[in-house]
Amino acid sequence: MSFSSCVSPDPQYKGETAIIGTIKKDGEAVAGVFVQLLDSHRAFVGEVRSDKQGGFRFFVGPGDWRIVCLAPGDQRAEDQVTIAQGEELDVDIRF
Amino acid sequence: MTEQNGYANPDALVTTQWVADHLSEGSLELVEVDEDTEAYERGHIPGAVSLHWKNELQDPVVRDFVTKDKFEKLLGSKGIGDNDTVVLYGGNNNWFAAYAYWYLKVYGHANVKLMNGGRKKWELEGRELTTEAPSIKATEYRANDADLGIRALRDEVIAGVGKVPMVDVRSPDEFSGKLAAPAHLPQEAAQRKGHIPGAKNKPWSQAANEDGTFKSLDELKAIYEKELGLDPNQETIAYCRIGERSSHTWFVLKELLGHKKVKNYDGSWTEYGSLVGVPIQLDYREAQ
Repeated sequence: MSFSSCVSPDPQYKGETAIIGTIKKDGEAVAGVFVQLLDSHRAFVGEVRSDKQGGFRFFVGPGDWRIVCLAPGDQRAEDQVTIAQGEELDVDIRF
Repeated sequence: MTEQNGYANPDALVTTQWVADHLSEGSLELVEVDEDTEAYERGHIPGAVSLHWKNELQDPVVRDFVTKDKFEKLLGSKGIGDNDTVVLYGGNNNWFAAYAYWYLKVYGHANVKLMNGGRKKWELEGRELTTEAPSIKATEYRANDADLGIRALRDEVIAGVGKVPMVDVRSPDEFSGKLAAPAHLPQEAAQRKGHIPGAKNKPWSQAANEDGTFKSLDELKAIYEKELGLDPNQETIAYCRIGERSSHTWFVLKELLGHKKVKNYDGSWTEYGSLVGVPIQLDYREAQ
């Protein structure tokens, strides 16, 4: 897997601090992935499932966060992101 | 098989394999309870019925459980009998399934179990899900009167400030007063931020492994008895924001570690943090 990230403002959520992401494998979106948000102490905060487009979104506070993705077949991806107040951080995840 | 990891009440927990092996048993009632209340419709374990933690387990007017009478009708409508074995599972590390477990215990259902790891472990193992509705034969369910030995109410909590050990299982940022709700949820909550004075903070999720299963007995003892200093024979009150995360910790303390006098305060911070005149500890201060 690999991660890459960039800032991608979304007018719908202007002003919100959020991590948004898309999960793909071999170029195809992966739905139903368990996406976990961990805080800077690696404590579990919440979990969502990726949607049909492989997308997910977490509203967070500014700071350091970890994203852990789990899928059947022992597929696992993890990375750390740092986000500023009011930023919408776009994260691409590839199994 | 049931979990044989030295837990105080091994019958309270079953493995995904045990569930798969017992799906066809008539006296086994599988019940899914999710934070994401649409998850069941997208696919559930064959034969499982769903229980909506809010629409079905909460009174629509008064903030409280449904009455005993309504609870009996609810479980009867799900085809659950008094003597059935109810196995609960759900998403988010059994977050709301643990709430339902505690809730059923309050109303005295004797044979309740959690599927260790919940829906996540079942799916990660590639096990079957279906959208087919289960066949339900309604029953005449009979509940017990509510057991307040495992449920803490407002006045008891206020009287216990500084006297009864309390565990605040929210995130460190909620505990300190920086946030009013979990970071990934809208920040709607109590009138005030902070925590009950004297409460110790241990996020509920630290009792779970990445796959949603509970940590080992030794790991749980290290957290709750050595680190927090909780006494298995002493009264303890667990709370969070609305009482569901603290149900998970209640399950750990009561069923896995065998603490005798553990109560869940389901009014939790949304109640306590809105009360007039009660003491609050606020550690977080906005930068000037």
